[in-house]
Amino acid sequence: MQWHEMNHEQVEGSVVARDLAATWDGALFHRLGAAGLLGLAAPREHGGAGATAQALCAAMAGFGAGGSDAGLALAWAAHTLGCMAPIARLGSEAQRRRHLPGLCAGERVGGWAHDDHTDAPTRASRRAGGWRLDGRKVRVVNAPVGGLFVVTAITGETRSAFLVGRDTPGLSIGPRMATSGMRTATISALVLEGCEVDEQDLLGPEGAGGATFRLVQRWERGCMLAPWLGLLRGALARSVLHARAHREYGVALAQSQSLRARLADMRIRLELCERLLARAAWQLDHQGEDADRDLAVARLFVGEGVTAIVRAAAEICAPQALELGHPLERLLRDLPLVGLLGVRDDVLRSSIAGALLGLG
Amino acid sequence: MHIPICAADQAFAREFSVQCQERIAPLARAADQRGGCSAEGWRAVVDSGYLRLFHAAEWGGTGASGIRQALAMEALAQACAGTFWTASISSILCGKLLHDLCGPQQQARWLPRIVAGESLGCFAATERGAGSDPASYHTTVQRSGGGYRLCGEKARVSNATTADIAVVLARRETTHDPRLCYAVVDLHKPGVVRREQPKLGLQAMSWGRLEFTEVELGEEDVILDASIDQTLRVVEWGQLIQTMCAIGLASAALAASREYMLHRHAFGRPIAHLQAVHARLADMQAELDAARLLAFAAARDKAEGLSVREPIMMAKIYATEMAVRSADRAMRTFGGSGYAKDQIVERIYRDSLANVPAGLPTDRLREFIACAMVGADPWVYPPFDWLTPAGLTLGDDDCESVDFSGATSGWP
Repeated sequence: MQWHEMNHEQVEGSVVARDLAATWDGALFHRLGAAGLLGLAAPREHGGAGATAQALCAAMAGFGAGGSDAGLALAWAAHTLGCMAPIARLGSEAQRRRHLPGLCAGERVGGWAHDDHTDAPTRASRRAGGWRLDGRKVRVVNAPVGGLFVVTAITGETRSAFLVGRDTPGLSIGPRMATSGMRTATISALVLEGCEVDEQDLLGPEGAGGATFRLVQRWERGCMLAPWLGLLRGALARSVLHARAHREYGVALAQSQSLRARLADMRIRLELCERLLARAAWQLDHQGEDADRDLAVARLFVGEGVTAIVRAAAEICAPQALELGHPLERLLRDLPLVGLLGVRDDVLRSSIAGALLGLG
Repeated sequence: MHIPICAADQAFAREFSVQCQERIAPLARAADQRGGCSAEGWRAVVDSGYLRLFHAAEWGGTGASGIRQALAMEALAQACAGTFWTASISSILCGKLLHDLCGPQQQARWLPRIVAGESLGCFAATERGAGSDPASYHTTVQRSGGGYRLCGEKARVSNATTADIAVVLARRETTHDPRLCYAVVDLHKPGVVRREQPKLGLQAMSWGRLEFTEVELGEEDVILDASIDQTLRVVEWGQLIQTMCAIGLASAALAASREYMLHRHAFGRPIAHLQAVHARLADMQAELDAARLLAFAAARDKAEGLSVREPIMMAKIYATEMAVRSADRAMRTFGGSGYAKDQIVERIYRDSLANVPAGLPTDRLREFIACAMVGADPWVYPPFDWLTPAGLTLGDDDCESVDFSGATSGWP
């Protein structure tokens, strides 16, 4: 598959260095845009390929299988699911024409700036010709390098969403977060102090903030982990190769029945993750019965599967896998930040339970 | 690529489920406490058409699709796992053995009766001292006049004391002959003794020993040189039975838990409001969804004759162990009430434990999957050696030549 090869040729060669130095490679992102990766699900008339969610996920799983750069997957998710998806689906024709081509091409990097704590939510107050935004978004993926942000803010009794460019006066980017994982991505706070936006920057009607939030949430649950399916295939393959090749004191690792049992469990778990995510993507395309529940179930199960499989792979391939530069060592560090764009697992469980119980 | 269940199949599932809930589920507690499936319960199974779903019209079947078979299996297991096992072992496992491995006389004599629910079948493979390793089975067929004689004993046979006919896995007279044979045995013949083995769950189903003392068999009753490949394909039906039983039980556990947490009050509200309680429901749903997706895909492909060896093994490993976890979660949801026999969960829990070791235990199935991945042989095992992998060898500490008196050493 072309995406698998593209990852291997364009991305994998520099991931160790980019991770060690925590470097963002804008030119690489731009090349992926030029190749069509970033615009897969965007409308054709604005530079995209018009792919369904199912096709998108299949492509991203293929891409993921060609490498081990989880930080790039996170940046991709924030850019395509957090910024491009709301514009494509809720934006006006003018907004789509203005912003989507550049985002598809990777010339501009997009971000999703919402409030993950409500003690100081961002507020939008009316002014002539638009609004004034005040607030602080604590952790925005792609903020340090982003050119356009989808920003949610309270407008009166409701929430609205705005498109805010990096250069808008009153918008500042906080210092980049230093993290142990996802170092090939960039994360920082977004601060809005008297940031003035116009009518044309309102995404959807006033009060569409909730709808925007729910849309991004659905796409994050259905698609964000698609590249991880590919990463996990790689982790499993490495584990199998290691078990076959490695000997300790003359005894092949593959002789260990309990180690073999773990490989079987990794394989089964991955198979289940792939099927749940395929169903979630189908639900994104068809909005069938229990769509939201199926999306939450996929996100919960696959999120846990990612952790379980990467940890098991790292243990099987230890101690080699624990050296800096080894993909499994890096994926281990990336794990805690996988959930950055979504909600905590216990909150996901409550969502699923709420749907089952008809409560809340 | 996700293939959703179509509206027609969903309608079939709803209707079939209604029959199971109205006619079979209400009898489940009594069947569990008394042991055995009642005549009324069996009539309900026959009336539902369950037995006929798995066979072609020429045998009296309805030839349902794999998806419909799976949907029906789940619904019946959800109503009463013991009744589900009784019916499925007979029609599916024994029925498929007759259909796929045995000769036309055996098929004509038994298959229509099994499909109609007039005769009950079973599959007798495991023995008291042997299970996963068929090379160590001792039951044999020997030439006798114009036919054969069957000698030996089978254990842990589902439907043992209630079945009319058994397909028995046997070896040739010389037990070193590796070839498998099947003997189709009318269990009412002289020389057959059956004993019930008391067990933890699936009480609606009989389970026990079959003792064969020089049972006379006709030429046509024995299939020599049974195809290993065909045998494994039929054994997959057994794994599907365990898998779908587990899924039905997990569905029952989830439904019971949901109902209970909505109606049981504590601290002024239904306990469903408590996060620790409803979090379990979410996990039950997620794991059930995962198991169903894999199992239904395998069932669909199997009914179409595609190779499903590894998918079925994976489905069985996951679903059966998942059902035990779900039953445990349900028990925790019910708290002390779940321990009482007047609630459904303790029966679900006991029943769920059967599917993990049944047929081929999940440990063994993991071996098949993993050995294929790493290129190891799942039939050959070296003797126990904990020294070598730890970097030690016998004779490492040559005690005679080392002075441990402590006089000169700085070591503690």
